[in-house]
Formats: sequence, C-alpha cells, structure tokens
Amino acid sequence: MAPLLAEQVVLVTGGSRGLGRELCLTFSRHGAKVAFTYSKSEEQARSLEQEIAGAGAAVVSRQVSALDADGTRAFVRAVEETWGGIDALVNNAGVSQNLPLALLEEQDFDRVVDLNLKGAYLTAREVLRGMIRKKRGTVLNVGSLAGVRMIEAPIHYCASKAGIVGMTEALAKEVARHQIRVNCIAPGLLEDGVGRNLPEHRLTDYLKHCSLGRVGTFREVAELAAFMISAKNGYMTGETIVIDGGV
Amino acid sequence: MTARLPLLDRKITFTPDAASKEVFHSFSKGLCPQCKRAVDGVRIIRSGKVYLRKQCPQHGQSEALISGDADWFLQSLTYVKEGSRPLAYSTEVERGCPDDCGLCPDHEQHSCLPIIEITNHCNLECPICIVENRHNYNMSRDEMGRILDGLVKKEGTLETINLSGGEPTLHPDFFALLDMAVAKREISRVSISTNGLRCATDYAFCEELAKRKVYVSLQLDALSNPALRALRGAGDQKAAKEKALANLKRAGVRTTVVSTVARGVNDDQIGECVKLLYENDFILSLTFQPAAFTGYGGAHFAPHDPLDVMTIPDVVKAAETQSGGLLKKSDFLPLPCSHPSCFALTYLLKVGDEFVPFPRFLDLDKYLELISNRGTIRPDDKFEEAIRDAIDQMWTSSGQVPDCDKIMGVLKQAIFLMYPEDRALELSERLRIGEGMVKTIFIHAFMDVHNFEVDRIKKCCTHYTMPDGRLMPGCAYNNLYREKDARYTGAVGKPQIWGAKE
Repeated sequence: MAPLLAEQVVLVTGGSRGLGRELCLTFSRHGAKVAFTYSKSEEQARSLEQEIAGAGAAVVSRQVSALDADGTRAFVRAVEETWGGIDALVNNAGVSQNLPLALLEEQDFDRVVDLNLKGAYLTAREVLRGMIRKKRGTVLNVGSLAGVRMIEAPIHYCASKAGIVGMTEALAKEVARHQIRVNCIAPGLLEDGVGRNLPEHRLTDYLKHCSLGRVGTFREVAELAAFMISAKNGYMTGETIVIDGGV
Repeated sequence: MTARLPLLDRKITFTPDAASKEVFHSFSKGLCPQCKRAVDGVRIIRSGKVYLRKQCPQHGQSEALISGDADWFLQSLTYVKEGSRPLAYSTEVERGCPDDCGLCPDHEQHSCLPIIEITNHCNLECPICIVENRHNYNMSRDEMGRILDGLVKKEGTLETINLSGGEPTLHPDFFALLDMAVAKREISRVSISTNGLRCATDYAFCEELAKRKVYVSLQLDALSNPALRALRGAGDQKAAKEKALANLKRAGVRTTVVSTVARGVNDDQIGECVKLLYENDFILSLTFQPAAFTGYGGAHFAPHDPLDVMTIPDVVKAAETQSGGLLKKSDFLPLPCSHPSCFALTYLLKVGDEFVPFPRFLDLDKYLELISNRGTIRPDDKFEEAIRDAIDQMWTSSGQVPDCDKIMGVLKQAIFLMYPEDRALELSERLRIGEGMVKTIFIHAFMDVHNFEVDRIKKCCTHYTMPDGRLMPGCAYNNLYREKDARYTGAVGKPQIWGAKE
C-alpha cells in the first residue's frame, strides 16, 4: 500500500521546533517531500534536515519569517521549481505570550496577530498562486482550542487563532471552485507547546476539564494533520477539527 | 446589381462550379430578390468568401455575398448557443418561416431588443434608410400602452427597449410615450434611435433625456460630409452630428454611436468611429451596421453589388487595420445567442487612458459564457464568476497576460468604487460605474432580400413591436411585412417638425 503522502510536496512554516518539527518528521515518514521555513533556530533546522534526509526522504529548508512576503515568495518559487509544485501548505508558524490585558501593549498585540494570522495569509497567498494554476492542493492552518472555546488565555493569541478559523472558512469558500481544500486543526494543550509556560493552576484546571485527563502529544496532532492534508481526506473543506482530549 | 442567370435544373444549379474552385458548404433558404418568395439555396465557399446561391422557380438564380471571410464564417458556427424562448407567442405555425411572423412557436429566440417605432415621420431622406417613412403615422398612447404591456407579458423583464421611427423625436407626444416606457419597472433601460438633429439644435431636449436616464443611439456613419451626404442626403450633416455630440456630452446623456457601413462609401472611416468611442466617456458603445439594402431608400441605394457588400468580418478587418493596433480580429466574437452571422462584439475594459478587449484577459470559454445570452454586461453571478476567474488567471499566469498588473489594478478600483466602505450603492449606481469602465463595440448585420436566410431570421432577437401584440423579427419585417403594415398604407403625408404649430 502506498504511503499516505507518497510523492506529495508539503510546505510547513515554523518547522524547525515544537509541533512544526513533528509535523515535518511525520509527513516525511508518510512519504512526503518536506520543505520547511524557520525564523531563528538555524541549528535545530539543520538537525531536522539531517534527520529527515538520513531516513532517505527529501527535505529543503530556508530561514524566512512568515511576515517576510518577498522571502516567502522566493522560497515558494524555489520549491515549486525544484519539485514541480506544492501539494499542501501547513501554516504552523506562530507565537504566544502569556500577558494579561493590563500588560498587553499595542505592539504586543500587533506582533502576535501579525505572526499568527497575517503570516498565514501571506504564505497562503503565495502558495495558492501555484495551486490555483494547477487546480489542486490543500491548505491546513494550525489554530488552537483558544480560538474556538471560551478559555482563559491571552486575548491577542485567542484573537489571532479565532482569526485563523474565520480565514480558513472564507478561504475554503473562495478557492473551492479550483478544487483546493482549506481546513484547520485546533489543538488543546500539548506537551512542550505554547502552553508550556502556563501557571500550574491553569494546567490543573485544563486537565480537570479534559475528558482524557492529559495533555496531547505533538505526534497525535501531526498524525491528524497528515490525514487532513492527504488525498484520503478529499471531501472536507472549511472545517476546524478540535483535538483536545475532550475538553 | 442582382446577378440573374437563366433557369437551370435544380441539380445543376446547386452543384458548385469546380472550375471556379467552389466548395459546397450547406443548404439554406433565402428570398428571391425579384418576388421575395422563400426559395431554396446553398452556401458556397469561393475565393475565401461565402456566398448564398438561390434558385427561384420563376425568376431564376441569384447570388449574394454572406461572409467576406470564410474562416471567420466557419469558426463562428462553433459559437452557436440554444436560444431562450419567449413566455408567449402571438401567431401559429401555418405557412412556415418566414411567413408566420409574430412570433410563432417555430421562432428560436426571445426579444433581446424590442424596437417600438413610434412614428414614420422623419426630417431626413436618407438614401440608405432601411425603413419606409411615409410621414403619415404617429403612435397613440393607447397603442404604446398595449405594446409595453404585451412586451412584459411575453418577456417578464426586459433589459433594454428602443424607441425608433422614422425619427422618434418628431413625435408630438414624444416625452409622454417615453415616460410610459421609463415608468415600466420591468424595463431596465430605454434607448432612442435618432438622427441627432433635435439633439443638435435643442439642448434642453438633451437635458430632458439625461434627466430620464435615457440612452441615445445616435446615427453617425462617418465624420466627413462626402460620406454622410452619400448615406444621409443633402446638408451639412457633419456639423449637425458634431453639435449633437457636443450637446449630448454636455448634458451627460449616455450615448451609443451607430454607424451604417457601406462598401466604398464610408468603410474607410471605421477607425475614426473607434477613435470617437475611445476618446469620449459619454459614448458607451459603438455599433457598426453593415449596410442592408431594404426600405424605400436602401433598395435604391448605389453603389450596391450584392456580391461585394460589407459583412461582419469585413468590419472586423477594417477595425483592425484602421485602429492602429488598438483592435485585433481575435478581439471580436460572434454573440452566441443570436445567429453568428447577425451579431459580433467585443467588450473593452478601460485601463488608464487605454482600452483592453476582454478576450485578451478572459478565458475564452468564460467570455463566451459571459456574453452567451446578452448584448450588454450585467453585474450578475455569471459576470462575477467570470471576473473572478479572470483575476485568478492573471494572478497565476506569471505575466503571460500583457498589462495584467494594470488590469488587476483597474478591477480592484472597480470593486472599491462599486462597493465603497462608507455607504451602500443602489444597483443603478453600480451599473453606471460599470458603464464608465467598460465599453462595447457591436457589429449588427441586418439582412436584405439578397442575403436573407431563414435560419438567421429564426434566431433573430431584434424585434419590431406591433400594436396588435405581434413581435416581428427585424429583417423579416423590413423585407416582407413593413410594406403591408396597415398603419402605413395611407397617402404619404407631410414631414412634421417638432414644436411647429399646425
């Protein structure tokens, strides 16, 4: 049986660390050629490249911020020229700050919303050019439980992730006529994720309301993501799938 | 001159002449130019042109040019689309087309453009006139009311109706009739066809038209007197047309320039008309009408050789050669809903100081869908989809479409203008904005007894409206029915002048 993502070209933003790293590894394990961007972690990026290449899979990476439209465009064109196009984009790059409203300055708000939301828009816009030309492709946005439920979390982060959900639906509608699917996954608390700096009582509170009684793993989310961008998931678009252990 | 040959056996008559390298294309049915009876015929391709050869049992053979470009003709047949039927008919099928007009259930197209002739008075005696003005009829309000009601019954809603004549502005009750049409909610646009003499001399009249948001189809065949005199008769026609244009522009009347093009008379001035369209915002469209030789004037017009007349591809070719590269043959396509030998057009998007024909940035299939059943652009779902596809295509084409950045900039500006952030616009306002950004060049080929074909008339969507409720396909009426119209059969009257006292 052919691997789930055999010969698929997948671009992952923010791929060198955390969930992004696991996404790259999982996709390559499923047969994909993986391109990823990273903003700072040069060393971790090289390490990931070696790990994937060492397993015999194709991989390229470039240091480019999701907010760098020109840099993103150049990398997207390079990947398209090297591998003949991009089949799936996973908008994963994002940041969070645990700031209460009183301490949340305008520049903090702008930074988080820009990186989490505007960055996804800029990358999607570049990748969709090629997808529309080919009349196929899929985009997966990484949202958050904080964007779909009323939970105690920083408002700029929640706003940006709720924006991701809205953008997913609107974009799905707009590009559906080109047979391109756009979906979103909304993870709850994950090991070593953006919630790693949560105060103890907030983690306890989360676990109290989580039916499975534990935080999720990157691998669990990455496997869902692999299915979401695969051809097996051909009839879903505009959806946000929550993966939170049953909160 | 009609070529008349001796009566021949039908089998021999329809056999292409091998020595002349003729190729048989298809069977047809036309009119005998002598007795106007419907007779069998064939389409023949010879020397890169298409001819209609007919055989009348009584008057023998005749032949007429029906397309000056065989390649255009053959290609145009691939654009045929099924017509839309009217909601009701007025006559039965009894004798067969074209002898049951009104429309009968055998007719294959509804009314895209109904023409209401409100008078047969005229203050010009045009040698090329396709109708027969006997100066003895003015439509009554009662007749107008019945016609408008009948149109709504047959069509439901109408995009455009046209008031014509004669010279409609001579009607003593002109504004009352015009207001009846404008008041009909089911009718989106009202246009009048005029020779422009009243517009030239009566500015207040132009203001009244602008106030009513009426469209003016201004007959303007050329911008020089020798050609205008040949087509429109004596007098300084050029000065009159220029005054009319100036008054219409000043009053802000949305105007269509209509140019009748006769071979050897004004076919060298097509580029001038295109230039006029490009340079004037108030001129929304330009219609070329290859001369048809019908009516009192047209039937006697000279020079006229049925084997050497203007056809749609001849106008297209002239537009290409005379417009200095602004237009190309590939910019024009037949209107799929009409017969491809009757209508061709191109839409032009205003990009800065230039105009870009739609086929240069729209996918051909989408463009054909866009123009599939209409002569004018409407901002409906199909239009939106076509424009969205065009935007996506240009965006993803990596510069394959010339000027795509400029075109996309214009389309973005159009969206901002039509859907401003601070207020909602009425549909009519949006249409008006769109009209300022898109111009149209139509080529509408009417038929005379020489090139008349039954399959063309069955697809006709330009209909004259009768007070008794009938809708007469334009060229059938002009060639076969007008001379029998009871309204016009009295003695020839004296031409009336607007404002003159009895």
